[in-house]
Amino acid sequence: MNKKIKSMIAKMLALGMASVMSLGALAACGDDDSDPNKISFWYWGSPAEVNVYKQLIKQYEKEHPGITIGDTHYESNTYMNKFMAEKKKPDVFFMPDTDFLTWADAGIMEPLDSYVTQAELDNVWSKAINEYRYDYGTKTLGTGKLYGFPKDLGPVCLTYNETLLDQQITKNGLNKDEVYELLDPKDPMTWNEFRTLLKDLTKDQNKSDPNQIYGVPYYELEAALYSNNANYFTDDFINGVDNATYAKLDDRFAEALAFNIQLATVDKVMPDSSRSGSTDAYTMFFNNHTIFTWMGPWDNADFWGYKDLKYNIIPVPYNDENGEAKSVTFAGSMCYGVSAKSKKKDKAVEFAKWISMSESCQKTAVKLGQQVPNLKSMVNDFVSLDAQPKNKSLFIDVIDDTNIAGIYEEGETDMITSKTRGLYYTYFSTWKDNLMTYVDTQKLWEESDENVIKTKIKAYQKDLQAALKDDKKELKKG
Amino acid sequence: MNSSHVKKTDLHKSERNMARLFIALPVIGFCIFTLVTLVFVFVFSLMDYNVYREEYSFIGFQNFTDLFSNEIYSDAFFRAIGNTMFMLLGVPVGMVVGLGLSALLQAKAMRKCSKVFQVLFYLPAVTSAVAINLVFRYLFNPSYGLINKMLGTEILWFSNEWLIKIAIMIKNTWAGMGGTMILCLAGMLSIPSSYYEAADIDGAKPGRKFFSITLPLITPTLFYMLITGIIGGLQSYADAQVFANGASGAQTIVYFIWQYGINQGKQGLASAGSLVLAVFIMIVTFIQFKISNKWVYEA
Amino acid sequence: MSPLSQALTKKPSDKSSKAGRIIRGTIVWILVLFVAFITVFPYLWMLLTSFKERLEAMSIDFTLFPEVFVFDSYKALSDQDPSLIRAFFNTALIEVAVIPIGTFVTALAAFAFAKMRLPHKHFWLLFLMSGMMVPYAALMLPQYRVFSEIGWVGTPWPLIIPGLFGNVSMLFFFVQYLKSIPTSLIEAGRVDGASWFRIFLKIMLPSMFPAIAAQVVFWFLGIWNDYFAPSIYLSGSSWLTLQALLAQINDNMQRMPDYPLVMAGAVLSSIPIIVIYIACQRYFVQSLALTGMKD
Repeated sequence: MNKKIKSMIAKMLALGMASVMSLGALAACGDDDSDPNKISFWYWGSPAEVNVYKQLIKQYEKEHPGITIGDTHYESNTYMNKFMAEKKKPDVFFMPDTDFLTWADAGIMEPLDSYVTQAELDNVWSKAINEYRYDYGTKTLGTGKLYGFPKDLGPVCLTYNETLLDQQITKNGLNKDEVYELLDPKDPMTWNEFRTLLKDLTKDQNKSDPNQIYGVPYYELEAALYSNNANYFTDDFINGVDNATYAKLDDRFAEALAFNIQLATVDKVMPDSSRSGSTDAYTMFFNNHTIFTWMGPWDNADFWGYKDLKYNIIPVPYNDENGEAKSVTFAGSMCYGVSAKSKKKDKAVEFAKWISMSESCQKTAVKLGQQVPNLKSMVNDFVSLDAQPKNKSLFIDVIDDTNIAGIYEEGETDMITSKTRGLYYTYFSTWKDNLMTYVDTQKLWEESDENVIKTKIKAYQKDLQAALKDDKKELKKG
Repeated sequence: MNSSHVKKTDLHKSERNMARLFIALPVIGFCIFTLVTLVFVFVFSLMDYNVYREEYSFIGFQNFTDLFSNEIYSDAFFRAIGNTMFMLLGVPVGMVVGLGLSALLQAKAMRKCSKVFQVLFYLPAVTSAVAINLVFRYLFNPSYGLINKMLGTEILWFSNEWLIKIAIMIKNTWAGMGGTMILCLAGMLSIPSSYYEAADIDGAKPGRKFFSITLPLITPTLFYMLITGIIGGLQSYADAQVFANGASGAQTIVYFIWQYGINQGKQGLASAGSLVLAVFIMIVTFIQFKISNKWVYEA
Repeated sequence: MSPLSQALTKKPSDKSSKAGRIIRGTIVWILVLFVAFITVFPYLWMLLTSFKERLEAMSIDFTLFPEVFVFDSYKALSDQDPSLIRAFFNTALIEVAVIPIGTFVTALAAFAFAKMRLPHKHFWLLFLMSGMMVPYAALMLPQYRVFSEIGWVGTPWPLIIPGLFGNVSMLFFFVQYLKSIPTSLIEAGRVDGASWFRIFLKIMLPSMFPAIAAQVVFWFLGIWNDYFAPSIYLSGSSWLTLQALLAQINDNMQRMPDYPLVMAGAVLSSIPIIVIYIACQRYFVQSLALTGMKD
């Protein structure tokens, strides 16, 4: 017995030693930095998106013999953490708009102006280019040097399940033509029209039945705010004016929040659980439990996978009781940054430029259902793509205010546009976490009285001001 | 005699040196991975440390005062403390269930099969927290989760700040009852059978025996479970991250540290939070040390 | 006969009536079976869901059994990056690298604490044990930065190296255990002129075997089920462990849940540990029992 145990212990120890040593040998090799032709590239994405990137990288390596791309992908929600902790930043990397300010200000991103010609830039959406300009001296966004090539500009629109819509039209005895007239891609609905439409379409539903069909699974708060000419903060905050009022929890803000909340509490066209976010939105959509939901161009790849699904997109509704309001949604975006400390800057920039602005790369990305092309010259390739949604040009309309796709005729006004998300303008995200937590803990999502919502959200003005001031202070410290 | 004395001290000296050598690795490991790291945490906690710019400046105890009095952070920190403390209530609940289970398994009717059920009830304790959190997240889903389906309700488990805590406590009770059950059974092991025999002679009913003999005598075990449960609960993180997906009603202290230290790059503030947590845990451990020492001597 | 069943036989026969005993027995059985059902059900649900179609798993119309048993989720698991099999071997490698050496180092130190002359013995033991009071969350930030600095992030080293210096809770357990082993064995060895290391290797280590087995299963379990540190250090690398991979699959589907895939991952990552648990359950129960009593 003793002998057996002894030999077992000896064997286990030997095994442990051997595995530690072999691991050491494995980890010792594989330092990428010494290879001048190997570019490290960090990105994130769903398995489908990762596949697209793998294809694009293969394509690049084929077009550029001798160069290899060492790619690493993380989950989207740990990506920035890894990026922050990494001492030696990758040569080329994803940088989301929400984190751009912080990192551009930290000086880790290479200014790219000298690597591109004006003509090249002119062919890219000006919104996308300007988003990645930052003036370090004055600490303002939108001007100054270019620190990133845009990955895409992602307009988020409302989309509807056509089959389910038709079914609800018939069931509720609505006039099909009248309904489809409201869904005009050039003429957005007003908030009131939208609320009434959703109520009409779900009239037959038992409102206490959890299995009912809803109008929308949740509402994008920023789409409501921007379409009421509201925002979290004042222009003084965006322009970096010192000691000014930054927080803007005014009537406009309160109206938009109330509109959002009341879709659930008053109109009952949105589930009570809507605040738990978009996790279940697609499930509800594909299971025919909501007529509308939200989508960006990157969702096409997934939507196409559902062969029977007929879907189309419409612009976000706006508040016509506010004379200045237009139909404004938010456009999420990302850029490709290049490390300022990269030892292979030229090659790294070349790759970043290729993946952001080259026709050959953009063609593949558009075809795979990933994005609206970055290049204006390719608008037609996108619009003429033989795939859903029918109103594809709306995606272009949202990010472009120059009528490049020829959507509007003489005399028609374009009142559809987009803005960046609030987090783009701030150094940290604490202010937004705190604000949303306040809305949560005050149980505003369960409130049906518009006045209560307004009073309570305005009461938060002082706290938001403090958080935004702290944010600005941190930016100006550097 | 003199020479043998010298020899003996020499021997002792070499024994002492050998002993020092034998404990060297754990001591070195402790110094590197705990002590030095802790010093770093302390230094960070006194710094305004901007991770993005890699800039440090000494700000004294500002991070600590921010944690407790600057409304930008203190609300979140107090909420994290409150949530963590509330969810600690799950520890005694789990203990009661575990104790009840061990009492059931000790019943005469169970004598033959007790072992099988012990193994079965302990199964959740060996299953990974990630897997458990994922399954329960699915079970508690408001629209297609099995729990609402079976109850015929539409309870929004994840949106209400109290319900989510209750869901977490239910999940943790399920996952922890096997462990507490085994510990209770082990505690019952150490009770001399003569106590029960004496009670039998007095004609005591099983229920009475349980409450007047078993329960008082396994109090040290229960206390141990309470303390380890509290220490574990104070360090809870996966519940907030995997199960609740960061919902504000479930954010714990460690989640706060993670959120500010790693997600928001406020490492100074997060380090201060870590130290506050370490102090909490040290207090609990100290109480355990004091009380259990007393019990050891009384027994 | 296990110590626990000994405890059970300690219970003297009670003298209540036969009918009462039967009723009580029935109630006990019903309760136990109820708890057993609750314990088993989540596993069953995990398994059944893993065979469902993605939309069926999220259907509002409830189905217990899959309408059609599909194995797509299990196939999809092999398309993960890294694959489930690779993650399995990564986890196993960390186990094999850490546990033998770490246990040996711990046992050696425990021997010194329990059986040798060591100045300031209590100080050192308390010194080491104070580490158990410091939460990992408090240490994780600076540790991460240091490991990142030396380029170990994305490799399994941060998960292996600390373990090679021993395990403090195991040390404490061993010290307690060794107190019950008679010192006469050591004295005999000393008289024979054996070195301390030899005594440890030839006499102490074999006699510590039950304690070692009990603690090793727990350490094994801890490493197998750990996800916090692996997901911090290994995400994005091919060294991902099973639990970190499972968390990654879950994170990847934030927008559109794929419960069958996640459940399939949970099933496959749980099977090895359940098999080991059932094979070694004696040690699990024993070790827990000893831990509870000695502390």
